Amino acid sequence: MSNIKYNWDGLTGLFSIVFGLAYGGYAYSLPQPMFGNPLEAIFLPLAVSAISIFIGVLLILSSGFTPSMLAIKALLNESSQRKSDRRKIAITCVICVLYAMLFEHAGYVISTFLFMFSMLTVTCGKTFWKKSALISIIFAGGIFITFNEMLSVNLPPFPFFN
Amino acid sequence: MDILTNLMNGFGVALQPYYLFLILVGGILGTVIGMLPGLGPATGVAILLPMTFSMGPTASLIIMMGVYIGAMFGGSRSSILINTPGDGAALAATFDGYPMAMKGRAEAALAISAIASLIGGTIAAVLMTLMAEPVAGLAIKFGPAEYFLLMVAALSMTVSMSKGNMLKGFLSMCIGLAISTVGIDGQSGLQRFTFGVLELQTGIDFLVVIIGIYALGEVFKSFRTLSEGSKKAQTKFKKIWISKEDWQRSKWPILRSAPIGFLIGALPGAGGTMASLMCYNNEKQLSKNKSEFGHGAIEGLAAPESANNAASIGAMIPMLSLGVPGSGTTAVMMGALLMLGIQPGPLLFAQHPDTAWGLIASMFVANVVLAIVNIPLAGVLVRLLAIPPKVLYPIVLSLAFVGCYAISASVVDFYILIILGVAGVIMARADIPTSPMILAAIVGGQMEQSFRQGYRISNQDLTTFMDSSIAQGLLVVTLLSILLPIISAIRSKRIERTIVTP
Repeated sequence: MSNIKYNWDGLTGLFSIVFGLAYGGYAYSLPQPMFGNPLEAIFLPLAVSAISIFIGVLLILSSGFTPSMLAIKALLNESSQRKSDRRKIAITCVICVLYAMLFEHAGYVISTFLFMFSMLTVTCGKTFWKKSALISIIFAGGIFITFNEMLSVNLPPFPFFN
Repeated sequence: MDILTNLMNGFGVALQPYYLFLILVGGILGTVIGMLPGLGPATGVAILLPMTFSMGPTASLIIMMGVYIGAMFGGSRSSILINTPGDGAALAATFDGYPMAMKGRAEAALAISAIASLIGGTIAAVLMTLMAEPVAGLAIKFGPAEYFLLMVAALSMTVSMSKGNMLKGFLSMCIGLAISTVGIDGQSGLQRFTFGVLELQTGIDFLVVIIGIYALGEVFKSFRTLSEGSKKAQTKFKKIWISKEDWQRSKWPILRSAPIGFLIGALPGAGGTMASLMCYNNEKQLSKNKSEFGHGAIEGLAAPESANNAASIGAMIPMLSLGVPGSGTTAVMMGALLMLGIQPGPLLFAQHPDTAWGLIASMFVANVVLAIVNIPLAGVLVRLLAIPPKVLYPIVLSLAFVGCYAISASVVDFYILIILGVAGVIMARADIPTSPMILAAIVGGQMEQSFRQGYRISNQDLTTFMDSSIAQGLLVVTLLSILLPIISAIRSKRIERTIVTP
């Protein structure tokens, strides 16, 4: 047991099988096309599904689940610094989702200012808030002008001036 | 002779002041992006992509080429000065570059890396000039069956070159192919895997996949370096140049490594990291001063630098001539061309000679411009290493989102971007390579259409995929690329067993 190195192969294999079954099952349940060979549109999805399941089985057979269990234990026992890094990634994801929800309603400049300010607070800390606010407003305004005026890429404008 | 005339016409394009300016701007941006740890050329080109939409295809490709080559030049700056490679291709530069800087020879290290990059890049550009059109000429003979097999071969080669586990490479490929099947099927009109979301009917743009994995994924992974803090780089230098003895020791490694790097770069999925590591090991084997390697041997820095620049140009061959990208960066460039209505591939040279030859000529020009920028201005450029990553990463994230919006004008892609960014982190943790997924997402749609066209043309006879000699050759390449790593793994396991049980 002590000689076993941890890895994620077993769980990756399990994911591969579940992915293959779900993807292949969904592909098989798709409605048939109105014309042509009814199976043609699902040839590739079914092939991908079969390969995924096969790969999953091979990964599990070659590695088993013990190294993956050890990997989970190692992950749970990681240093507090690593746990903090993961928390930062999770917070960043939440900020990104909120940004996506706000983007078209609040317009580019406002939503990007809020996004940048939140992100800089996550990476630099709260004490840096004045510089964060300044960087955020310059960045959001600068990019908006560059894209809308110079590059002809229309970003959502201010909501109140439409 | 035709090649020479075409190349001269290409120079006529590349040397126009506007294009020279673009090469310079792209080159400097690329150098800066390449220098910053965690941000490689693919990230750089991906986040700058929307800025090229208002340019024509030639200008767009030329500025991206400048960024690509610039990132290759810049990647080694941080390797040499702070022992942190800007991207994977600059990893080998840490082996001897950093020890050189530690011994007080940072000036020679910076100079030889730029000189080796210049020579390697120029040799590769010559090889590119000679090979691009003949390869494209061969590709004109391809029918749907050959195209399907070409993409299968490209995918299997990328999978077989996956670091570590080939099985996981296959899984990564399957995920990429699954992404490519989202949207309305072009031949039957059937909606596949759209889950009732209107925006998914047009499919998931592969540029979104690339930005998600390279920009968001890399930034997420880089949170670790935030907590570790950044290292301080030397910013004051004496004259950045090399001695005669340094040149004598470096010239053959540079010349030997360039063609090897070019050929490795031309293989889909191989790229600059593999080229530079392979050439480093080659030089170590050939050198009379083996013991110096790893302790500041100048040839140990010159060889990989020459190779990775040559590889970046080699990666252009499959993209320009066959329409199959050889690396993440060329995938983004291909995406830019497609968005501008130009199909890369064998007909590019016939239909858009200005774009194709202008790009090839710009490779020569970019190498010279970047050597001029990187040698005398090294001291100024490396000051940018002082930009704290904690400010830089939010900017990269924001640029990734604006780039994504510029592609599709849809916030649905933001959610896909976030999911892919997280997927990038999880895949890195589970040692699942991302390059097969990206290549599969790019070529999956075309591969499926080619298969179905070939299948229909032959009246549903699968032997059409084995009929021509090109098809047979591609099948052999596919089989070899899968079987060789398996055989070599079995052999090394047997050797291990014999060592353990004498």
